[in-house]
Amino acid sequence: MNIWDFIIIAAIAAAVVIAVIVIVRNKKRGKGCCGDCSRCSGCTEKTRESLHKRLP
Amino acid sequence: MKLNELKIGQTAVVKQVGGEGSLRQHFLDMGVIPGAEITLVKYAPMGDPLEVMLHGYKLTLRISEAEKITAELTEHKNTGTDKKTHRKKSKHPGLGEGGRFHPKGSGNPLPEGTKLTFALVGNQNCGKTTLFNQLTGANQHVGNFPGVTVDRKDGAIKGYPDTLVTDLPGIYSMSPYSSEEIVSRNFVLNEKPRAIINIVDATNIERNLYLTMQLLEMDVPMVVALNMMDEMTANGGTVDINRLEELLGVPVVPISAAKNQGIDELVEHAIHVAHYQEKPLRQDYCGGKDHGGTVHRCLHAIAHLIEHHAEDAGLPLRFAAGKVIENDSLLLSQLTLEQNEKEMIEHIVLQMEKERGLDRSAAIADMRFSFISRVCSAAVTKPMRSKESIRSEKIDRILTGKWTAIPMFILIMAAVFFLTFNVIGGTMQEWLKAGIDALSGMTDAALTDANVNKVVHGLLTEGIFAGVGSVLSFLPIIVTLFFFLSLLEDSGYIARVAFFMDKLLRKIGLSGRSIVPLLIGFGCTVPAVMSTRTLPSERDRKMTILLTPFMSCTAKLPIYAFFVDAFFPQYKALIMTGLYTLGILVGILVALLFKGTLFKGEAVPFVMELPNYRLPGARNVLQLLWEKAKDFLTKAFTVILIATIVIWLLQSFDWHFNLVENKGDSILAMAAGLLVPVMAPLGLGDWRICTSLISGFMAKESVVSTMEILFGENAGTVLPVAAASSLLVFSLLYTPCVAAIASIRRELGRKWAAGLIVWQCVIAWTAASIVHLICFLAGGT
Repeated sequence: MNIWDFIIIAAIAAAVVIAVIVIVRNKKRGKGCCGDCSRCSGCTEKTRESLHKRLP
Repeated sequence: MKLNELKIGQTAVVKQVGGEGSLRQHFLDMGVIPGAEITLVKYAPMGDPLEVMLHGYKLTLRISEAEKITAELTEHKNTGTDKKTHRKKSKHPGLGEGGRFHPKGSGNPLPEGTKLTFALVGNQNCGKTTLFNQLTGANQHVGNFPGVTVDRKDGAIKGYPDTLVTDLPGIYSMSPYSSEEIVSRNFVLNEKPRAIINIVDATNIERNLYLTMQLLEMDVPMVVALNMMDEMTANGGTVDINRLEELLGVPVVPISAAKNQGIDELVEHAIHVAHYQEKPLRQDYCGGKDHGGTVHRCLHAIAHLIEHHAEDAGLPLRFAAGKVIENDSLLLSQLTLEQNEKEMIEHIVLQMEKERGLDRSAAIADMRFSFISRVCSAAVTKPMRSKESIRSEKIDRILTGKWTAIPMFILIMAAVFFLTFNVIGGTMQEWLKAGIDALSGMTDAALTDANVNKVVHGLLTEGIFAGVGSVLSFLPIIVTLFFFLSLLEDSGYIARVAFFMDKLLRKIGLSGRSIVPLLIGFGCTVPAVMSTRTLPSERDRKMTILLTPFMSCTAKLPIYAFFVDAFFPQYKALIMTGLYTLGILVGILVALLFKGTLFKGEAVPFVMELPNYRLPGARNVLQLLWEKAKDFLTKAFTVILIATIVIWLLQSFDWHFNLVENKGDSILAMAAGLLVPVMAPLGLGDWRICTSLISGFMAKESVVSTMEILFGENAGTVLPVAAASSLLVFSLLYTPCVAAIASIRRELGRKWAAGLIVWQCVIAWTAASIVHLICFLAGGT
């Protein structure tokens, strides 16, 4: 293995870590609707309540 | 005569509104009340439903619903216009400005730091979300058909961090008809916002003020934002704002949300009334002398009777009294009335019905519209027929014409697909693909020159570049398709499609309103499933949700484009259209099956407002495209990047983590091999294909990237034509992605979501095996 191998592996590892962070952060923020609005905090801002819990 | 017996162009005065329950209440709330003038505009191309004009706006309803309305022919033409009247200049009441309720600088404000919460309430399609975006700087999507907003959304007003505005789904009254309307009513009743911003469409003020009347009864500080004033004045109409403010007893601010006019003034007034808790000056608008004051006496008598119950339940008294008369079951259950009280109320109401000559709901609706009529004649000069309305009528002669509607729909959709896949999207895709290939080649050469390790080299070129790159190249197609769908939606055409497709959809057990979620399904299943909330019946909602996955979403495009490019390049648009059509046909068959088994019964009534055609806003369209492109790129560099790396690793190593020479010995081959016998009858008995399809459950785009990794450069050519055809059909119909399933689970519950996965896979397997057999018999190998 040469120096380029280490650099490329480090870059790929960093990309994966960033990707995981973005997925988790987006899931929490609800960016790009996941459809699970009752759990996640909504598409752009907050949609805290589940519609159907409020139905009579 | 019945309303459906009118001839086109004839006008009649409503005498009686039949029907029962929430549908009847909905009719009344939409202004179909005894005394209202209704003109028959046209019938849908298939003879049902029909379009009528009342109170200056267009409403659609089915013949079976029109049969419930008794009317009497009149010579008077319901043009919705007023003659110009000269009015005296009114004095500015100055409500919500400081000084009206208290000397400037004094008053009884809420403590500093109290969060000022606002509910943004208004009719459907009156510009709430546009105003919300202007107030908060958010980028919520707006459309031009009723029911774009299906859930509440919050944001702070720009420059006022201690505020929170909630954009609510549009409602026509506080007697909710569909499930998303319940969200709005419950928000105002239960969450007790500090103030309400009531957005009123000035071009359709009579119907919009009906909701305003009910909001005034809530006894919550309120500001009326009179939207689309630019359109109103441009067409020769005027509103005496001062007079309107005086009559309603709340601040009225003329605005144009789309042009960002009057927003600062609106914010000032809203913050003032919320901060000083300045409630409406009047809630009592039941004229004491109207029809002998029968409704007035009934309302006040019941208000006295239920006063302590309303107080205990935390309900505004006047609102509760009105709803008790209307027999609103949701509210009655909150009041916990004793039997004796119920009987007393019933007697009072019966007496009112007898004296007034109208039933309870009609009497209350009539009381409200009578007040609105007085307000409008005092403060509003209706515009001449608007340019937008005349333009819409001309366009509708073709787009919803008897002989032209369906051919135009087919033509428009075919043009959308042709431009997307062949002309615009297809060409841009080729350019992007060429760029990605060049970059991939350069990287490959650079890695070879740098003598990089074989495994790392393979991971980068055969894994990441092949996987992510192949998905990225489909970005132009997806953005182009969303561009056209957005144009159709924003222009108001989709509402027309619902109108003329209603009769067809009823044959498969749905109503015309279901077309909206189904068309959105061609973009993405997740918002499509969410938009089913505009449907007022649980049966229609469930059925529409279960049919949405048959509308092929844009995420499946890369799969189609990939195989069509490889196998049928000369018939690209034809095969693509064929796949979409197949999805629709299978959806229809499934709907017919559901109609006869799981969902017996009739579709919901089709009472819907038809908006005027509008030119789609460039900002709105560009914003949507940017959002979609960003979502796609984020997905490519997150989920798909990780998936490609994991798949490359699994297909490069065996169970002992040794690098394999033959991919058939890899971990992936062993695991996916379990599915091979199941997929073999479809011609897809290859572990690499099974793996690709499994990865598609995470994101449909992954199918192509996985195939690129597993098959290498030959991915498009290794399959026989019959197998490629069955793969296309299987991809079209098998389980939607995990995000769509999550959204279905939220709407219908876990069991339905799990059942849907199995159901879709069974259908996909069956359809794909039929296609495989046909291709095989036809000579394909």
